[in-house]
Amino acid sequence: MDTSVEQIQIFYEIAISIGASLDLREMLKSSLSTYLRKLNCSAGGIFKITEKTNQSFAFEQIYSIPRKAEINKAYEFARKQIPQQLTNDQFAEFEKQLPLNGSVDSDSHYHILNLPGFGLLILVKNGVDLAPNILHSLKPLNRKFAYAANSCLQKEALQESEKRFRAMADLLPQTVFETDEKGDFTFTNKKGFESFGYTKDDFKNRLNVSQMISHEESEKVKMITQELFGGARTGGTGVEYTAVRKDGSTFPALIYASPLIKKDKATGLRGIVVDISERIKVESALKESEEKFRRIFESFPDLYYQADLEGTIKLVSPSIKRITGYAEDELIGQSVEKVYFDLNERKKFSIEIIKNGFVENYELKLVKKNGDVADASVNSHLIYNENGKPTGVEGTIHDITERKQTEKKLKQAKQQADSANQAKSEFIANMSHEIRTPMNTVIGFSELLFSLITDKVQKSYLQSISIAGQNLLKLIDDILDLSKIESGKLVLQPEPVSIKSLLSEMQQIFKLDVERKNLKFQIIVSNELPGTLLLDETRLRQILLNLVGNAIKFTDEGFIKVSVTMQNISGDENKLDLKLSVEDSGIGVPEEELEMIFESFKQYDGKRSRKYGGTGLGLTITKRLVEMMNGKILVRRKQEKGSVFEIILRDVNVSKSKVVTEKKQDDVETTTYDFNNARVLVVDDVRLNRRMLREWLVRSNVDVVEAEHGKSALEIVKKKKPDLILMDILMPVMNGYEATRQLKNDPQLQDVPVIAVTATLDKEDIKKINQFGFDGYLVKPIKSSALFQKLSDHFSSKKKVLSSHQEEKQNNIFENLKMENKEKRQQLIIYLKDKITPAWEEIQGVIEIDAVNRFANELDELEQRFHLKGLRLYIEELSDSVNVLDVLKIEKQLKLFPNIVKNIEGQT
Amino acid sequence: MIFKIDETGTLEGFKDIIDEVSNQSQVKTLLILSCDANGFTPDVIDKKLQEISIPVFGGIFPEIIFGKEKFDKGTIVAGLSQAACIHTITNLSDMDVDYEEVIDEKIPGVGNCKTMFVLVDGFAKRISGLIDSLFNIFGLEFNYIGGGAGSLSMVQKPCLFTNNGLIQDAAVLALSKIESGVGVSHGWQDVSGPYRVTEADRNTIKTLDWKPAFQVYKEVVEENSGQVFKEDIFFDIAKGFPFGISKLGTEKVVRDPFVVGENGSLICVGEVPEGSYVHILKGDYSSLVSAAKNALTLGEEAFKPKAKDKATFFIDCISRVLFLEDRFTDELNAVYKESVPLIGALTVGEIANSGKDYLEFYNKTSVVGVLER
Repeated sequence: MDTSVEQIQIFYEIAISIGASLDLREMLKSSLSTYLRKLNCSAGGIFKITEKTNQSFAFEQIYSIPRKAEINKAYEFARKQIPQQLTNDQFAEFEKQLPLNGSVDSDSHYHILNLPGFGLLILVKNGVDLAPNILHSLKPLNRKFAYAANSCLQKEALQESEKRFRAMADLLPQTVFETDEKGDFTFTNKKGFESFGYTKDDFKNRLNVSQMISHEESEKVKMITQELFGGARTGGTGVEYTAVRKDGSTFPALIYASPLIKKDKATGLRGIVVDISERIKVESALKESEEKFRRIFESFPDLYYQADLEGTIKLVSPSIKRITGYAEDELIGQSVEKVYFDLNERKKFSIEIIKNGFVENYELKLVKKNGDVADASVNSHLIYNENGKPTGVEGTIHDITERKQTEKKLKQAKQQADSANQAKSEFIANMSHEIRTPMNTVIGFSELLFSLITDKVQKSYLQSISIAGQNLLKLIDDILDLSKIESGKLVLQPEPVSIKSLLSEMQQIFKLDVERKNLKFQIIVSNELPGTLLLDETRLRQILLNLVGNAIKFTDEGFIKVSVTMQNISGDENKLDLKLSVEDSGIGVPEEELEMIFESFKQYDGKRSRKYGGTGLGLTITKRLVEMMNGKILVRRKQEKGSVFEIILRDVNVSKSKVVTEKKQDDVETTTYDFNNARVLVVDDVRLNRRMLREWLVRSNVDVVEAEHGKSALEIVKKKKPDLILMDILMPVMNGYEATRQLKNDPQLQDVPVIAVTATLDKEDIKKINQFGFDGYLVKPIKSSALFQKLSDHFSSKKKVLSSHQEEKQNNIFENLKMENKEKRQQLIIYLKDKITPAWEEIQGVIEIDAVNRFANELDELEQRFHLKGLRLYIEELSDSVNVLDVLKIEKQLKLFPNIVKNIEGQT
Repeated sequence: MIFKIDETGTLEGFKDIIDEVSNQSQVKTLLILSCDANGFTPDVIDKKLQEISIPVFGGIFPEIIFGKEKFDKGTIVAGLSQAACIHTITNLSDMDVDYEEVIDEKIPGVGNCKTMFVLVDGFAKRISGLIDSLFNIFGLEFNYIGGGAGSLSMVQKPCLFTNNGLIQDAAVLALSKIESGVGVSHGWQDVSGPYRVTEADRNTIKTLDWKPAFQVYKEVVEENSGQVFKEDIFFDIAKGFPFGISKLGTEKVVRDPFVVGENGSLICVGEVPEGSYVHILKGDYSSLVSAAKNALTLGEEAFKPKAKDKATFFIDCISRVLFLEDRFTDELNAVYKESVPLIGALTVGEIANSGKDYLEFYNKTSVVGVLER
């Protein structure tokens, strides 16, 4: 056979094999194996030229037969002939040199051939080498090879791109599809299969668009398809239709389709099907929600609004009409300033909401369409976009015009009430002053007269006058107290209080009354009770005075029993609950009056009121005071006779300090003072008051000068240079405050002590007295003891205190204890120790008057045996103290007893 | 390497010589060449095969060669003194199998392999696929020698020996360190052509130059042979007129049509690629015998270690026997050398590579392997 023909056939076969596949590897596998087989080559390899960076090139082996072609020496040699990296120019130069041929050993030949535009081909031929003409003839084959390989690469790139497209299409949440011109599907994505329920097999077996459209809509879709194909409709517009799944179920869908154009001809459709079931559901829910919102919005009684940051109103609720008179469309798009009454308020509002992000109950004034002004309360906050930037303001506005008017009226009413109350307080204070001033005269002169006259009948008249005066003062004090309590001006001032002392004081105070009525007065104090408690002593005393006073008042026979017990419920040893009960065997409180007994001016029925007298304020004040002390007061009828008033004070603090017993004014005895002709200026506009003071003072050797008012006082002070001034407060021309201020501002006069004499005394008054520089005060009606105590404080250098009556008596006792007879003295000591001292020890602690009496009687019996004058004097003093129920004096004298014993013992 | 033949073709004879050879201490691997006429089936001989404790490979062929004689019954057992690594590739007709993947998995390394014995089920449909895969992976790293096992009845049946038993539709690859030289030649000459294979499916030529293959073939062969194709006597005539596929500068690759298929197609042993050009070849006594001689020469030339003891492994196509008939003895004589023991098989297709050419599956070809003993 003709060799050249055979060669042509062989080349033809090789040529046929090249490009049989568009998969590069498959193509190389079949083509290269045919290539090598037909040329009977033992090895071969394909190199691809790859452009690297910087316009340089490199050849990479991408396929070889055998796979390990390098074990073939010739192949390996040829491979090494291929430059690893070439520049553009070097590459061109290298291509020009091709084919490169050579041999390894005599039997093995290699050929490096150009695959133009793709790379290189190495062939290894054993035995007889390929003839040059054959190598030359391979050129077109190699060109085809290169072309086929490049086609494969393009196809691969295309496939890669398609793969990417499919992968992306599969990721899409919508159905993506392509059809041919008949409407048969040529492509759909994963979602397409899922949405419509078809399988890939269904797809392969031809699926038509018509199968996925409801029968009723087929005509509509057909028409749209025709319009798309005919160009009457362009793609991109969504058409809603009912999609049908393989199982016949349907869902609402939106389809976007456009024609596939090839060579100016529509060859099919490409599009997206969106399942809008969810959207429709959401839309429906949204519609419902909007409807709901609209209904709420329209029926909203307050005004809802939205505005941007510039203040342009974006939305207002229909209630705007009712509140401002504007219709919604009259305000939307307008500035909020249109409804602001005061633009400064808008500025403030803006600052506030920008600062805090919100405002709450922000009050401002709105101006209505008709020009009226409305008060509004605004609750607003900033609206933020998704980046957290504020974009506007929304909120609600509540019309508070009516509320404001009501508030205004209330305020006015309160002001009126306050001023009425003030007037009442002032009236009471004035009344108090106006009554106290004359009472000062009445009581003062009664007292003075009492000490001057000796006629018993006259004295009894004076006593009645004095008692009536005292009662009147008591009424005034009660009214004042109640007024203070009601106006909240009364402030409790807790201090250490000895309940025992207070009760002894009660016993002493009411001693005469009790004796007069022949009543038994019992005081029972629990042993557990701590020595001192923190209470307002004055007010507690007031309470006891009221209750004990009432008990005595309403009891004609029997007893009065005051008992004090305590409870510690809280467990805190510093606190206790104090229970005070005042029991009597009197007329008792009728059942029907138990509830009203603590109300102001409510007394027992008229008859009793007339019989027993009283203001009717005592129990009211008592109840208020008890409540102020965190307590309560109860009253109950006793079954047999009488009543019981119980006070329970909660959480009373136990005081750690002891009561400092003040020296009682009563201890000061006027007759013991001689102020050594000290000069006192009495300033008072009431002549009688001046006179009363003069009468008292002159008896203690005081030079008294007088002035009618502050102004004349200032003049007299300069002339007469008094040692002390007694200054009334309320006076015509110049009151006491002003006069004192001027005095204290005068360097020459400021050292003269000024004692205020005042009819009222509350906290405010004391404050004022201190402010104006007074050096002390006396309260009208002035008691002589208080007056002389005050004077003795200031005239310490001038007073010549005559030796104290008490000290004198005490000295007398000790001076007269001397017993010369040793034997008798010894007997006395034994008696004292064995009999008297135990009796003395018994009465330590709680002082019981009966026990003290027993002690005094035993001592008296002893004295009658031994006739010791000092002891007699001691017994008399003690008995006197017991008779006047002066607890302090009793205590003092009891304390003397051990010293008396010691004195007698110590005698030699 | 020791060789034994059992000419009885019985199971006992088979067992005996296996035992005899395998009991030799120097024997590391058994190569078994057996005749189809022995009638060995898996249930008969699998037990014995599974008992063999050393690697076994081999096949059942139409006939076997021992010395300068061929036998249509009996078994030759060769005891190789080198241990061979044996791998079995199954499903040799499965179109979906990628044999490169299979081989990669089964044979990760070839070690110091010098010769690979390749025995295949000659009636499997993808022999060429396996051969190409072998070449793609291993190239000419070592020599290949082997052929197709099977029966002249043209029915596919278990025909390959393994340690697991007798198998079909498979290939047995034995990697051995035995040195070898391989020669390949056939001696068939062009009669007519070229014809373009316009339609083909693997080993079936459907049309030549767009005409039914048999029609073209019949025309040429009847003209050249003076014989007329009749029913049932196709191969009697066809055995003298195979197809040849051209390769540049070397003998054509012969494809042996053995039966007429549907629509006038011709079914060959071995694949005929569509698009290829084929010639119709003709052989004569002298060209074939001298080709066998040439194969020996080539094999001897390719055998490098000259000093070593050699044996001849002769793989010759059964169709050459059918063609040469009694004169086949001359072909055997041409290959046989007194001093060199010879074993071989008459096969359904031959596999060989001397280390120079592209690896092919041949038909009607003499393959002489000169092996190190």
